[in-house]
Amino acid sequence: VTFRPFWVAPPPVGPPVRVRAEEGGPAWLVTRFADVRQALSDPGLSADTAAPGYPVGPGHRGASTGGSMIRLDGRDHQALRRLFVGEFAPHRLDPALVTAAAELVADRLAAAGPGSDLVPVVAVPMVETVVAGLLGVPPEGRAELAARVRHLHDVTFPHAELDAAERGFLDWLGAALDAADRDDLLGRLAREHVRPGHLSRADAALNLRLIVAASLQTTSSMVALGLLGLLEHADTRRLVADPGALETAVEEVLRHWSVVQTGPRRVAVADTVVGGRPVRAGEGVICSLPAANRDPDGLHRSADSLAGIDVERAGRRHVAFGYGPHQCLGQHLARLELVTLYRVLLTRFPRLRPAVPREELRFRADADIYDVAALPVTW
Amino acid sequence: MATVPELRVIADVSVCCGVLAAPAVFAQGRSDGVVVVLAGRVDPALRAAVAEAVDLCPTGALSLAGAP
Repeated sequence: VTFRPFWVAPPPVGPPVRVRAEEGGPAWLVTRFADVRQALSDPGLSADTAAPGYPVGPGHRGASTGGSMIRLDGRDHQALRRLFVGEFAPHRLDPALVTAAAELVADRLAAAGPGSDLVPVVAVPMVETVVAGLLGVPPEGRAELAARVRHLHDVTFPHAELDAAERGFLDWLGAALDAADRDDLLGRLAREHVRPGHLSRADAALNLRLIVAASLQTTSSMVALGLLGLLEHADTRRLVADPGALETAVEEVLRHWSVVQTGPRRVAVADTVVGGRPVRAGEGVICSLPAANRDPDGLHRSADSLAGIDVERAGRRHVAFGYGPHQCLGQHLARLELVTLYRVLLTRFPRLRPAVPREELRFRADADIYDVAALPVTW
Repeated sequence: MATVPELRVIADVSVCCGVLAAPAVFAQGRSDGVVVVLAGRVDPALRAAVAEAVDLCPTGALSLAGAP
């Protein structure tokens, strides 16, 4: 049986089962919370898509990923990740940048009026504005940047133009690194690592591209889905009044939607054991984060509570950001974006609600990053 | 009089991937994001928060010693 995305065909939570990767060979589908944690911590399982037996999926967007930290293992991965991860530690994030972005998109929503689609009016510009701030792009350059990164998150971007867009963005990042002279992400990367010669300009650009790509589609998807979840299942007045309750509610919508629904994937480079099943070298492993996030044993919650959105029983014990050494590097930024934006929106629009019945919403169930195609809202 | 066993938190920086923080006990290095233990001895009031951080750490870099 060929692997299918969680939101197309949710697998039961249980021991690893054999599946076939969409464009690769045999793989083990891992669904239990403890097994996903174990698999993503196993040094015998590689993230290298070029390794023999890697369970290739259909969702390869963009050309080059070699040299990107998401494909490296062990010490090589750690050394590269440590050049970037400090930039995304909680105390290094800029709440003013994120608040300004949230206020900007709330203004846009007010101007667009009731009935507007939250995805293009709020979710996409929110994440684009934050990325522009991270890359040090001034307001007048943001439309150009948005055009340059469109291929990284817009599922309707023409396939024939992907390679050119990818090359164009990597060239743009390289030029931005050459010119970087401020004390910001690009400036520090250029001054401390690229110019001294221990990180090539090409690898710096490739990993910045990874960070930008990873921050766009996942976060814009979560902005819309998370808000839908809160509007349907939470007392939004309480979330505005109680910052702790809002943070907990955000953890719950992250867990529930688990938008990264077709991976992470690995390939065994040595014989190992996952969830009690022998995994031979050369066999693939596909972890289902949404399935693991519904495992009552792993999350210490009832199956009923985990089936829906239960902000009263929510916690941080979930794997929506993955696990192991590759766990999402930008998770604190993602949380800050969601919490800040929801606080601003629910304060400015206390009667915010979907403008159409639930059955009229179209979800992209087969996308690598699950999302809602449009979310019209009113207030 | 019974003494309360001292609880200490230990960080293995060689495996840290730089994503978790529990205020008042941990910080992260400015350049590499690697965990820095601010207070090895765990204040009993922070015990639950530290235990959660140990459980959530994605690379098993954190552990508690002296836990009864």
